[in-house]
Amino acid sequence: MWILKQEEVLQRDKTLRKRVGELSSDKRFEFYKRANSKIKDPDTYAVLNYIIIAGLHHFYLGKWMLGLLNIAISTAGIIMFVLGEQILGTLFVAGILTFELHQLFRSQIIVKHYNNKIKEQIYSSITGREPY
Amino acid sequence: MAYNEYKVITVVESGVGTIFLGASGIPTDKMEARLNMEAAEGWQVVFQIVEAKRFLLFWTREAIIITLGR
Repeated sequence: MWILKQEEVLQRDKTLRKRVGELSSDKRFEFYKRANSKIKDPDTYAVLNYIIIAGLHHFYLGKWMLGLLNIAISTAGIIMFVLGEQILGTLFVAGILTFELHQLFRSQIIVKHYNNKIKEQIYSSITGREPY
Repeated sequence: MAYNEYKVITVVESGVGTIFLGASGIPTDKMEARLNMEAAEGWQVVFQIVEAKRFLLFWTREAIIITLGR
């Protein structure tokens, strides 16, 4: 996964807020009503990430492929370890741990980026134009 | 300031965090979206309190009860 830049994510959020603020009351109500039911909570994402090998946090953000890949690599690593391939098994599990710990530490910005994308889609569907 | 109408809304902390860790944070993004939604209809926050609510028999989670007026 690419590295999200915090400044860029915050800037997109700021621009989006400005655009939404320019909408009429009815459209703003519609925007926030739809956003309220779709946006995700970074705290929940982080909690689900504590069970690192299960990849539940990926499912929470709708990233099914990434979640299934996470489970597959973790399971493969554990099976290899049990079957005597300790080095390969350790490498698999260590790889998952490194990747997911990185995700855990950046959970706030990852979920913010996800929420921005959701809000941009809602904005586009309501106004028929891109927010940027 | 006098209001003609009041409305009470509740925002609760994340259930997943409460179950796994015993406590969680108030989902501020959701709370913000909800307040913006109400503000678009002319509501203003009058006051708010934090309450401990029972959750799924064994757990307790915090909820913010917000009173709006217009």
